[in-house]
Amino acid sequence: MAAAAAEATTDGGGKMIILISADGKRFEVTEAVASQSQLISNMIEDDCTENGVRLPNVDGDILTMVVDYCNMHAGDAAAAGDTMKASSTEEELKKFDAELVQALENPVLFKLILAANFLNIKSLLDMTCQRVADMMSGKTPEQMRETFSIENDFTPEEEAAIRQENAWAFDD
Amino acid sequence: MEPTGTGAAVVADWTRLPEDILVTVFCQLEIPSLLRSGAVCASWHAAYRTFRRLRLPSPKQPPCLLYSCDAYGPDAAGLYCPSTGATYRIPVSCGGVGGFRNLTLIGSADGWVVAADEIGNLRLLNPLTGAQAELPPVSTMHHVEAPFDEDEGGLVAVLSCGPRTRAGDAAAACVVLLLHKPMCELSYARPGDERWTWVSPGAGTGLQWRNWYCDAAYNKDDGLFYVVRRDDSVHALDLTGPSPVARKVFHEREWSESLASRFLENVHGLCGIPFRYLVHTPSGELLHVWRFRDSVSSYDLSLDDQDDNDDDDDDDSGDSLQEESSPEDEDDDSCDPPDEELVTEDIQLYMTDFHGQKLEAMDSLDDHAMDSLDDHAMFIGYNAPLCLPTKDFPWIKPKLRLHHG
Repeated sequence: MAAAAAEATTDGGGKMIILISADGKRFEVTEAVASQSQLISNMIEDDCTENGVRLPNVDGDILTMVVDYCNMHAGDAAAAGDTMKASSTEEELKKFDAELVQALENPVLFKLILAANFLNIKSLLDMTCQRVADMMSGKTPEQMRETFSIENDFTPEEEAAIRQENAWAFDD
Repeated sequence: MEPTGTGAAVVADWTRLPEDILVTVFCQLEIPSLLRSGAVCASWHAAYRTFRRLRLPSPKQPPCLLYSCDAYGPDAAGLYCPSTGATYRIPVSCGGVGGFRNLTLIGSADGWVVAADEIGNLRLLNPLTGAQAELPPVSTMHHVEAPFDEDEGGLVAVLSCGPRTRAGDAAAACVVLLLHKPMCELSYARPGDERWTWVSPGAGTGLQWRNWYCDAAYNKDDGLFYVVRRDDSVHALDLTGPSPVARKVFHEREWSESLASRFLENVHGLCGIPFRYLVHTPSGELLHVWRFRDSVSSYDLSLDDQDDNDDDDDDDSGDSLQEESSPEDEDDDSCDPPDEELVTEDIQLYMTDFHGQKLEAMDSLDDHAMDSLDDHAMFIGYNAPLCLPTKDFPWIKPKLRLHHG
């Protein structure tokens, strides 16, 4: 069944690939779109995408976002992509990225980072890492722990020693 | 886009973010936030250690103002971060009489400063990490007794990049080029060298005779130092080989050119010879900056004092973290205020047209040429100038931006 679907081609002529999420959701995308993932790009080169690409550590809801992102960015990544579809303007892309990244909160952001890392989509990884950096910026260690629900696992002595090293940065 | 997946749900345990991803995040932080993130939990601290061990840069770190002041005492520096408005007091132990307060900062790059003590001996110092690197004693300089004196100052250092204290080829890349007395000559050294190497003018190096070099700039793109003389001529210096090689890349001024009229107006006016800076723009253009200054009685300032302070205070150079001595702190002698002070009368910018061998005044450039400099900010002062794209540093207010005209 998967094989039959994977052999399908789009009207535009680009070969289609099926991505299968951890929870069994299926996404049909062009090679150009999927190739933004270095992982899948390598698989295409090695000819092992015929039966669909199983992504056992990416949930369907996250893969939805990744596919949306890749569809949106296919224009600039693959010039030889679907010529029928007007490629997104730079402005539209910026707006799309900004809205996507602004909406990201725990734990979706966390999952999306891991997915971008696993799929090896550099631009998406950079964007999501930037979002994390923005959430950390200007905060005290306590506030960072709160933002990311992290427990302080230092002993009081350890924490004091670490703070002492660059005490100036902790004076607020 | 509601989550519909149920199985294999990943719990968002941020302590388990892979180290390489955390390191990527740390690269996007300003230094104070970076230091604090290392104190969040053990796994983040481990990633922070890796970040430090790899000596990764902090490209998002905007320029800061480094200064000393009486309130902080001799062994601490003030660090003002205009992007956040925060001021930090950073302990700096550098030994010697008077500590950090007595050092004159004459150059900087990559968070490192070149600091001169009272007798003119130089060292490299990273005020945030406390790391230091030795430079050869000034007594090893070619026919130099004192490379500068306190009255005239005039010692300029240009640093190619921060020294890497770990063994490896990167250490060789750190070069300090000095413009020093007498006659603004050039010498250079690498950390750990035994002596300063004088760049002798003449056929051996290709450097023009009669020195009078006014300023220098290092171009990270081509690895060359650029030095400018009073007559506008520019030489490119390659200091990577066993002996220095200079190449004239821009000819001296020809007085018949139209440019001269504007210059002459000032030369024959009160302002005299301009104080010069060389600065590379992010896109690689070489700018000549002429700053015309005049001595004015401090009781009769013809210019708004605030304007002058803007020019002086916002000095910066380097990439990741910038330092500068604060002009207010240059003179300790508070009981005897100087009768005269230098006031900036005019600042003129010229873009170097290497192909046509002429300087284009910035206010005569066409729109296309201006586009490459729109939305950039320039910082000048005692130290090396800096040109930054404001899009990367949104805190730079429009009033500081570089406008032509």
